[in-house]
Amino acid sequence: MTDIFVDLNSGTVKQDIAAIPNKLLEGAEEAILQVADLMKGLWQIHIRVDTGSARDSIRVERGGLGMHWREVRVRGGGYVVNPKTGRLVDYMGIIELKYGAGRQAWNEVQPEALAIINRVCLDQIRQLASVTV
Amino acid sequence: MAFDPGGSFVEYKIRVDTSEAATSVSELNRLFTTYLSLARRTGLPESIVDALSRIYQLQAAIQALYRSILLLEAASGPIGWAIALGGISLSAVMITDQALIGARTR
Repeated sequence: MTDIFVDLNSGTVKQDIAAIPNKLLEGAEEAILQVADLMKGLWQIHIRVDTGSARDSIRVERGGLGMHWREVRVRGGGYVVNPKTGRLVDYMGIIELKYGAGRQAWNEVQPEALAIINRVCLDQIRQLASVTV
Repeated sequence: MAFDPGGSFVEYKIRVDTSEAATSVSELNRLFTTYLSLARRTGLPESIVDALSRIYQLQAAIQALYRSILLLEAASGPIGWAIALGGISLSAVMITDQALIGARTR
């Protein structure tokens, strides 16, 4: 548990508190990018390799954004041409259903995700003048 | 997680949503303002105001905010799984299309 203190004597306390949701959103966005990168790496480790095209097709993409939400995607498939078939990787769904490397990566990344979110979000909040973490 | 109609790609969507956090902090801000103005109006000594500045409730509020932060897209599909972690709302759902399921089960 982290202690967070607010200096009520600071002239910026009200603005700082009001800024917390945006700071959390910035931190959370950065955190999920880190989580996605970690998941991508783990997925690339776990996936069964023949030509390596499926592994190379795993990537992180920015999803979308709204006033209160951000999204990133970890995607495998397409993107890379398999030298054996001469086609884009079009079998990722099948190998995922069979071996579940992406699911395994997801399972492994969850504990790290929690740590990353805590660290990055607190770093963002720490930037507020009247808040001490 | 989602597959495209041909099963050619697999995608995990990781989404953060701080709508709930915004509402909570707005309420928190209102409470702080009321608290501070009352303290100043009643002429509390500086030491008391200092003491008030250590508001532990904010810590609990921030921790509660974390719980609403990370969401993986929840979706439905013929095949799915959901994973929950601690107090954080964190789940992954796998979706596949009927064509791919058909290909597996035939």
